[in-house]
Amino acid sequence: MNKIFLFFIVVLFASCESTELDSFEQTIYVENNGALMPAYIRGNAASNVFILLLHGGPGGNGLAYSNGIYAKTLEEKYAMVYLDQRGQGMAQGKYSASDVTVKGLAADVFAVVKTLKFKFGENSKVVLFGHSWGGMLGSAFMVNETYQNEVAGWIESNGAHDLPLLNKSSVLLFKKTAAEQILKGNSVDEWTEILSWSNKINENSITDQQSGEINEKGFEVEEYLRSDDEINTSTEGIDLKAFLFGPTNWLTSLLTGNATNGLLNDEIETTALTPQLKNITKPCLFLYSKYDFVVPPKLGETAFESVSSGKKKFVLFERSGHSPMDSEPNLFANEIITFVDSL
Amino acid sequence: MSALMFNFSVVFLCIISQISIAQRPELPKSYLKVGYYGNLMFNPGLTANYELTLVEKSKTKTKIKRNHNVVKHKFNRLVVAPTVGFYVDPKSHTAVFANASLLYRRINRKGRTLAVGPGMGIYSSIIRNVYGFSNGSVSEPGVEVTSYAAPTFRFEIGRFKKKQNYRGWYSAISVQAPLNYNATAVLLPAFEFGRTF
Repeated sequence: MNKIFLFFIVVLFASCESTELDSFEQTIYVENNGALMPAYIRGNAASNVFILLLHGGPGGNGLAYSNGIYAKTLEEKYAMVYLDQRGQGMAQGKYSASDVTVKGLAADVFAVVKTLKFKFGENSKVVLFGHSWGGMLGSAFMVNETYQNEVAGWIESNGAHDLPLLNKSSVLLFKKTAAEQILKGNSVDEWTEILSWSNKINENSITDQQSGEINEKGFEVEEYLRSDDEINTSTEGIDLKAFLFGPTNWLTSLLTGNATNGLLNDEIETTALTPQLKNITKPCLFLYSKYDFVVPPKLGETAFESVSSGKKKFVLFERSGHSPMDSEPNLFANEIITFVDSL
Repeated sequence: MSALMFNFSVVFLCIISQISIAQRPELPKSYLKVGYYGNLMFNPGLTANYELTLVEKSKTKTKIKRNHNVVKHKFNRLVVAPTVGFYVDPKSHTAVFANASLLYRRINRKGRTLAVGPGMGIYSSIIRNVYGFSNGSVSEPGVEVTSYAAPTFRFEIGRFKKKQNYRGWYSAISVQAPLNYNATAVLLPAFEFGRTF
């Protein structure tokens, strides 16, 4: 019995947080419209700059982005806010399925931004940063004038703000890259199969099933490119300590994330925010990768052309797939630092 | 919340009234179990469970061993098991729960037992440091309690030891499924082990 008691004490003390501003580590929860969403604040809060990260998925979690060189570099300079969005990660709450919409989740992000300003002061600078699905969510936030006025800038990394354009561009990229790689003599059998598969798809009429296949094959071909040294291999690996003892429980996150993905899927498949991007006037940084078939760089190029921002930049990572923060972490972090420091 | 507190009170009264169980000549029809509750195995907690036999069928077998009659019983029971407990997910939330299971319990001649069955209860998640956002304004951080109806399922093994006055041990895998959690439901499995009193 004494051992069990001791175990309790150890576990409870292991959860202590740091409120030193230059090495800040605290978890807050934001409640909005029935959802309770954890925001893990890590890094240099003394900078008074908060980079609010919107994770991918839907079905991912914020802390999956807290590992690696890029995160450490950014946390040294700024405070990173890793948010678990509604119905994902360790977010909880009681609400109906009709509350799970792209607009509803954008309203949650607004609640988080307002909470950060409430906690750290109205003068604190919040920069929104979305990756993959987080790019669609962040774009939905930014096209709302009231929302975008609360943030200092928008960073979109491999963001999927237009699914119809994404699917079409992916098929074209598969065809182009397959032809190039076969010519180079790289993984010829595999690329021949990809070419044959992509040639069967009519890019102007892509079904939901084909959309799923595009996503799946997008990750598959990254392996071929990695083995042929066309894209960098991440040196990070899995953070086993965080996986086993971190705040995010993998089973809860997986179950709840998949359910939320299912609720959002139909809406996402038809969401095309490109025509609304002209509403964005805040400074923007678009970070995309040459070999990203999951969210092709074409989306970044069109977003760069569409936004009305006076200050905007498009960066193409030449040796990356869907996660340039892992394959080119220093370059990735430096681009963000240059952008944020200019705000 | 008041319903939850009521459930807690009733179950705790049952538990307290049974703490002073004296010598028992035979396998009891009701008993207390207290043990470790490990939500997802490692989030630590405690659980207490009071089991009442509703229906019992027994088979008795007599053997002659070394000129003595040895009588052995085998039981099949339908039991109801009100349970309370809590666990702490140190970096996320604390949860308290109260539920009642209807279990089929089988006890063999050596006192080894197996139980399986569904249940229904309330699961409440307690989160601190919550900033509420409503009508464009943020409120000071506080504690938020959210309660869910939660069906349960339990699979348990254990043993009653005659030499220890029919006290023994148990080990169980239980699952709670809070409904309307994140607009759907989530499965919260737990590993339990403890003592039977």
